[in-house]
Amino acid sequence: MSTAKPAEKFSQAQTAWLRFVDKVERGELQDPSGQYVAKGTKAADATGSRITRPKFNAGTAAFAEHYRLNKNGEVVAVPVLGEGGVASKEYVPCDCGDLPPAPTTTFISSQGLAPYSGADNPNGYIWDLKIGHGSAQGDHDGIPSSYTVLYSDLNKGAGGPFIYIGFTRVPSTASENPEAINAQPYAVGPVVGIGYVTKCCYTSDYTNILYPYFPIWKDTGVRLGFREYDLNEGVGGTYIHATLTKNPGFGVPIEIGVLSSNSANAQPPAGWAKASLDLNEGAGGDFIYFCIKSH
Amino acid sequence: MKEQGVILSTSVSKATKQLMMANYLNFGLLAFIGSSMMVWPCDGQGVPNNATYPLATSRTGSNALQPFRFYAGIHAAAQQFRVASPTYYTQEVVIRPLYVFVGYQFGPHLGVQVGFLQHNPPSASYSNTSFNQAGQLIEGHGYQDWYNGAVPILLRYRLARRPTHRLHLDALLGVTVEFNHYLGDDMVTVGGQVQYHVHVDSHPTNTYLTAGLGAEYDVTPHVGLMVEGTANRNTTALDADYARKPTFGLGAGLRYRFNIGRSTEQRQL
Repeated sequence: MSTAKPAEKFSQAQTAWLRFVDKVERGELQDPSGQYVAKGTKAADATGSRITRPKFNAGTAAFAEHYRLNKNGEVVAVPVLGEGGVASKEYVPCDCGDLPPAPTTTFISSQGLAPYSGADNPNGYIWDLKIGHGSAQGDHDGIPSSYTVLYSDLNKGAGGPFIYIGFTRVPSTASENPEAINAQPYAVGPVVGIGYVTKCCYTSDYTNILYPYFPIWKDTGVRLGFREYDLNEGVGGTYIHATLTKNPGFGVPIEIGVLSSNSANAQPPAGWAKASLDLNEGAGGDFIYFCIKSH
Repeated sequence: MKEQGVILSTSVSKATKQLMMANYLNFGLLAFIGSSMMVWPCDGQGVPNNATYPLATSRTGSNALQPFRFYAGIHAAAQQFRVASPTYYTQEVVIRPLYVFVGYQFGPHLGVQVGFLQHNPPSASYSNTSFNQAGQLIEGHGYQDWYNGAVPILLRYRLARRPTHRLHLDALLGVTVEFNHYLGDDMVTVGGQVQYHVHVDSHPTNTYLTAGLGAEYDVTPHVGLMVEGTANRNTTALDADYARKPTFGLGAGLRYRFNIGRSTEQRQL
C-alpha cells in the first residue's frame, strides 16, 4: 500500500511519464500506438510523402486506452491488437494496471535568462529569435552561439531531429535577417508577437498572409541565405513555419516560452498565454505550444 | 508566294523522303533530329531551296505541301497578372512553372495558338499571438487557398523576310483569359472578443491584352528552341490605376511541329 501523499503520488506519476517518453525516445521502449517514437525516426510512407501519427490527449478515455500505470508505478503502453490499431489489454497479456498516467507538463521560458540592459536595448527586450536543429540533444545548428537556447525540443516525442528556439536581447549580436537587408519596415526591433504559417513550401506564395510577420529564420551564416525551418521537420504532420513580428502596432514586447505536455489542455504559468497551434500537430509526440508574456 | 509555292512543289524531295523514312522507322525523336540535321545543314541563314521547310507552306490550295501546320510547345515560364475582383482587392499573381500550347500555322508567317498555364499552391493557414498595451491577448487566425489558371489565345507572326530562316523572331498578339479563385478567412480577437472577421470566396475572371516577342531557333524541321517575353494589360480591371498597369512574363522551351497535314501522296513516299 502506498503511503505517498496525493501530491507526491501525482509527482511520481509525472516522473514515470517523463521516464517513459525518454525511454521511447532512446529506443529502449516502443509505443505500439505510434504516438511516441524513437528520436531520429523519419516519418515518411513508401512514396516519401508525409504521414500523420495518432495523438491521444491525457485525461481522455482514448489516452487511458493506450497508456497505463502498472503496479510498480511505471507507464506501460498497451499493446495494439486488431484492425485500426485498436488497443485492448483484454486480448493481449499485459501488466498494464488500471490507472492512466497523469497529465504531465514541462515549461521553459526566456524570462530571467540572459538579461541585458545596454543603451541600445535598456529594457532588455527580446530582439530576435532563431530556430535551430540537430541530430543530438543540445545541437542547435541555425541558432548563433551568441543567442540563448531554450532547450525544450520542439519535436518532443515525435522522432526526427531535435529542434530548439533561441533568442537574443543584444541588438549588436542579432543576425541580420533578410527583411532587414531588404530594408523592409519593422524588420529590426523588439519582438512583439509570434505566429505560424502552415504550408509547404514557397514563401513567395504567402508573403501577403505573412505580413507584417516575418519567418523565424534558421541562420545559415549566408547573407540572404537564411532558411525557413519546418517545425515538424522529419516527423510528418502539418508543415509549420514559425513567424514573428516587430511591428509595434501589433503588440508590446514579449517574453517567449515553450510548453510541452501529454495534454492539449495544459496551461502555462499565470501571466503567460498559450498560442493556439500544437507544434507537433499531426506528428504524434507531445503537445507543444509557444507561449508569450507581455513586458 | 507563288514563286515559293513553285519551288516547294518540286521539293518533295530526297530530303523529305529521308525525313519520312526516319519517321516510318519509328526511331523516335532522336532519329527525327538526327535525320533532319543530316539533310538540313545549319548555315545560319536559311535552308537549301530543295528542302521542305516546316513553315514555308503553299497557298496553291493543295495541302500536300503543308506538312507542318500543327505544332505544340512547352515552356518553363512565369507569367505575372494583376487580378481584379469585385469582392476582393486586386491581387498580383505569378503563374508558373510550365506553359503548354498548341497551334496552327496558316502560312509561312502567321499562326494562331492557344495555351494553358496554372498555379495551384497548397493552402495555408496562419495564427498570430501578441499582447496589446492594455495587456489583452491579441490572436489572429486565418486560412487562405487560391488557384490561378490562364489561357492565352495568341496570333504568332514570324518577323522574317525569308520565313525559311532558322533563327527568327516572332511577334505575339492576342488575349489572355485568367481564372482566379481565392478563398480566405481572417479573424482577429482581442481579449477573446472578435474584433475583425472577414471571409472571402472570390472567383474573378479577367481578360488581358497580351503582346510579346519571341526568338526561335529551328534545330530541325520539327523542333525549335524558343524564348519569349510577353506583356499583359488587364482589360476588365475594376480599379484601373493599379490593375491596368502592365505585367510581364518570360518563357523558354521547345516547339514541336507535327506532320498531321501530310498528304496521302507523302505518306506513300
